[in-house]
Amino acid sequence: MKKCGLLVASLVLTTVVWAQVPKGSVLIRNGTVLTITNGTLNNTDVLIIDGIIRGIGKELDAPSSIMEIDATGQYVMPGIIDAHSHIGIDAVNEGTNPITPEVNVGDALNPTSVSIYRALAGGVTTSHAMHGSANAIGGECETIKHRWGTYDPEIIRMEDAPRTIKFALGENPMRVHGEGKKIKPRTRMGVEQVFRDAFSDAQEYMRDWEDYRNDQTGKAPPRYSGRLEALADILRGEIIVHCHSYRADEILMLMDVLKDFGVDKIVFQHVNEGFKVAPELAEFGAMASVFADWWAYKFEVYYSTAYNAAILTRNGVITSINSDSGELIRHLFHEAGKAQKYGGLSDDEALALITINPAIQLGVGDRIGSIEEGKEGDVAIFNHHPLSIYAVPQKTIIDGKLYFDVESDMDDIRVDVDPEEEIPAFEFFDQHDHDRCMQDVFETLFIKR
Amino acid sequence: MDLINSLLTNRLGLFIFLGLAVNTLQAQSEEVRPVTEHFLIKNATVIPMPGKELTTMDVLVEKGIIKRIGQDLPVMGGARVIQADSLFIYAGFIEGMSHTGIPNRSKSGRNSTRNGDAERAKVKDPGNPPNELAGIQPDVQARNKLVATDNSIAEMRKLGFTASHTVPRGGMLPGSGAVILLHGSSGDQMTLKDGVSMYSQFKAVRGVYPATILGVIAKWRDLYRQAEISQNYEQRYSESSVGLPRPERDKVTEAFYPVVDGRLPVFFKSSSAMEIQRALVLQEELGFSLVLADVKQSAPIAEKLQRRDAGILVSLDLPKEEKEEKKRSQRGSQKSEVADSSKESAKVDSIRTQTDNPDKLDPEVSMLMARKRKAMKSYERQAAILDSLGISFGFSTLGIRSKDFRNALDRMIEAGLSKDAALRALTVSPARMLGVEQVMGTVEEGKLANLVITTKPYFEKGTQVAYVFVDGNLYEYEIQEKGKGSESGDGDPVDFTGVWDYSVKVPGESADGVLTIMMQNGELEGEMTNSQFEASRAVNGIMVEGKKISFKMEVDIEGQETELEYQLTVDGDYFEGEVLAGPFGNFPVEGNRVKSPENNN
Repeated sequence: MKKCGLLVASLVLTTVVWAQVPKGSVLIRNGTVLTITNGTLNNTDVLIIDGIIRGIGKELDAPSSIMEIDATGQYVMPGIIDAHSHIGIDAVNEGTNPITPEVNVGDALNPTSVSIYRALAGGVTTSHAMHGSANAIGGECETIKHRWGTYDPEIIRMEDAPRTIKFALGENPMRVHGEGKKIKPRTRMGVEQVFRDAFSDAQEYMRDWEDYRNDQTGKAPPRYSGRLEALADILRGEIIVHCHSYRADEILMLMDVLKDFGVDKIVFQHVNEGFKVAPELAEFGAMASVFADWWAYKFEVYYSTAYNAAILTRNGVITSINSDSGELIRHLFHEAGKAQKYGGLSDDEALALITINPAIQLGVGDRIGSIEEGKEGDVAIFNHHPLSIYAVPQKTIIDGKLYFDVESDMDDIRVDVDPEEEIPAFEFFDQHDHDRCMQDVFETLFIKR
Repeated sequence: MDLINSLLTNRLGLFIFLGLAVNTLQAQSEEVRPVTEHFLIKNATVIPMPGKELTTMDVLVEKGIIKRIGQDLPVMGGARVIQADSLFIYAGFIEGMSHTGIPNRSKSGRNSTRNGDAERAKVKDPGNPPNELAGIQPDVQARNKLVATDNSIAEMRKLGFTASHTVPRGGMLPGSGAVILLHGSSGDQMTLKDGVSMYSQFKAVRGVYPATILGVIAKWRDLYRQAEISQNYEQRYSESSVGLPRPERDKVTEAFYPVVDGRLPVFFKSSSAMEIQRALVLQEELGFSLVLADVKQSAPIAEKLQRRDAGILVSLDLPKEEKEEKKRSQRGSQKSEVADSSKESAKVDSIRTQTDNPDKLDPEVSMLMARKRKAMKSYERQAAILDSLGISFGFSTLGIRSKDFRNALDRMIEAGLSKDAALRALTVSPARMLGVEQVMGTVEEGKLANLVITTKPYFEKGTQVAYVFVDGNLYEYEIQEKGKGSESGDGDPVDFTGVWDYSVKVPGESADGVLTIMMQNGELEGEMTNSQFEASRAVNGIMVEGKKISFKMEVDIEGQETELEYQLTVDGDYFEGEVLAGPFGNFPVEGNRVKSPENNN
């Protein structure tokens, strides 16, 4: 009996031993510091010791052994955060079932993926490596820090970041499962029912296990299900939902579903029609992660506006701008600039879209996303104001360690080299992670569905 | 035996009919001598275990056992005496993990539907397929899959292997492995010990759950957790079953019980640095006993391995060497001969010609080549690095061609692996890992008579295997005189006919099928199946030049009629090459001959 109880406890508490994450110390001298949460500080030093910001001020004292960076005439901002990407992972979609919360892209991390370095070169220090949008309930995602130069997946995992999971509404799950496999969901109504059925099953599962734990007399244990365990954790509020969505009607639908099942941690991704339901999102406490000006790539994404981020922000919705792309991730600061151009956000509001707001959406707003004492030492240094079109990222620092320096940017920074690779004279194919949202789903050529 | 004879005769007939050289047949020069069960090997140098050497020793083999090792042992009546004055005796080698004796699926070539793909396509709910279709069959026993006449057994034996830990082929959980002796006329006879491992791979299946590495790992956890719960309940039920529902029986779950107990190790095929670490994460989380097998890329994470409690089997399948580069540049120039008008390939050709002339290399290309060489070194050095860190390991032989074995060993030794460490990895280490060190791994009295007898110390260049004893059964090999070319030259006509299993590497996945090439009225004809279509389809435009064969076929890719062009180079029973798929790009393809030509008379 006792053994059984222990066993159940061990199911809940997955023990993970964190690898020793590299940390450094650095003093950044005399920059224009864009703190995001506390305005702009001119001619100011930022001191990071053992990975943590320990001082912000003028002419700070620091041990002489610490590396100094002269940022005179330069702009020091918190490391940029991307709330929606698919970089650094070897698989994106387990697109065989409309409900797969038991899978976890954290199991397929690949720290040698060159996209990580490309993101660093754009001042991006943290990204949200997400499951794709093939399934109504996809897999768990992983918040990664771009600690480049390792073969160890544990190094890029952001230690103790909250669990997040990918949901998807609309055309993608309908096409993959409804059209592709002739199963539910074939319509938007079906998508809603998938959520309701899944959550109801999870409630029943929780009840069954609780009954069993309370009194085992005459009972066999219920069947174990990683899928229902994960759904139960969503119902318990232990996982933040990040939902791929476009249309206003289905955004309202999902909020209704979540309300019915008592789930309140929700970030809508893409959310192109978010501007139509901004007050409703604010009232629910839902957050939004949008594109600056990307739309019309499928039918449900036509009704869109570049004012989306500004409208959402003005309505009190915590909003971020994401890349969903291994290319766009390198210039998220341009994307934030667009949101300023269309909608007139202030500098701090525009920069919050790529720093503190995505940090809050990933549940790590207390650790990263602004330059504050006690926060983690993730910093991007630009030669011009990052919202200027002339801005070029100069240095990218994570946990006080320098990972990208435009001055010592090597031609070939790959960690992992294939000993059998063909060396072509020219790059014929550009194989970055552009739009991997539907990867692993469309099976072409030799692969039969 | 009759069957084999008639097959041989038929093959011979065919070869003669086709006017082809018969030289491919003389490879089988070994012979079984069941005349006596007593052998006395006289005056040999015995290497009883790595690092030790006894000279002018006699070894007496009796009824499958090493009876005595000593000097001037008396010759007894009935014993066959082998004069081994200049020969070296080693313990028979052990394959740490292989598919030896387990043929690559039973298939009949023509008109055969690709069982898996076809059935998977019919599954109503691909999200919940039956276990067999999802590659989940841990209840399968390697022993029941053995085919005693499979070529691989003789091929490995010829190299000095006498025993093998062989595992079934399949998906993420193909079954449990057995330690077999490379001698015997049936699976049962060959099996020394079964149920020695649960074999697992990070292998997804097309179209059904789990279709990605994500699903495979999630499914693994699910199966393991369920097994923990079920086993616990069965325990409770066996203590007092009154009033309790009877436990549900499930062969997959039950196959996990000994793993959960820690009695059965999981041999995880984990080739790359990422796969190795994924297997380690699963082990850490679930707590089973783990052997990392087919390990190719442990060099960058060797220190992590040092801290972990996992067995290691280093793959003998090293990345292909630089001579590939040369081949490619040859192919490139041939291409330009056929007046390929496209600009890009002309540029590629010019660079390929450049690679032949290092002085003219583009600096970027030469930098990339230097990195590639360095990467190659890291693969070759892996065994030496592990050994220098005091990590013991065996070798696994999945995916190697027997003729590449010596070359792989030589490259590892050249990269710093000591000969003793190499010998340990071939003998004592796998014996210990597989729990058979009582009976094999060293040349000691009382152990199984598994011996390999060579003309020189094994790791010296030009060594040849003269005799192999498996379980006391003698195999003799013809010693080739030095100077006589044993390799067949390029001038011999190549036989393309037969049934070939091929696989195309599409990014992130590989797709496979069967290619059948036959001779009809003096012309080559071919047909193939592929994952996209079930029935065989004819290929057209077969062209042959030396070892190269090319042909075309039309396929429908997402509604678009596309012509695929296959360009293959055949080497014995193996081919490799490319599929040119028009706008979709080019994909590597390789294949193995699984069936020799049928008699078409």
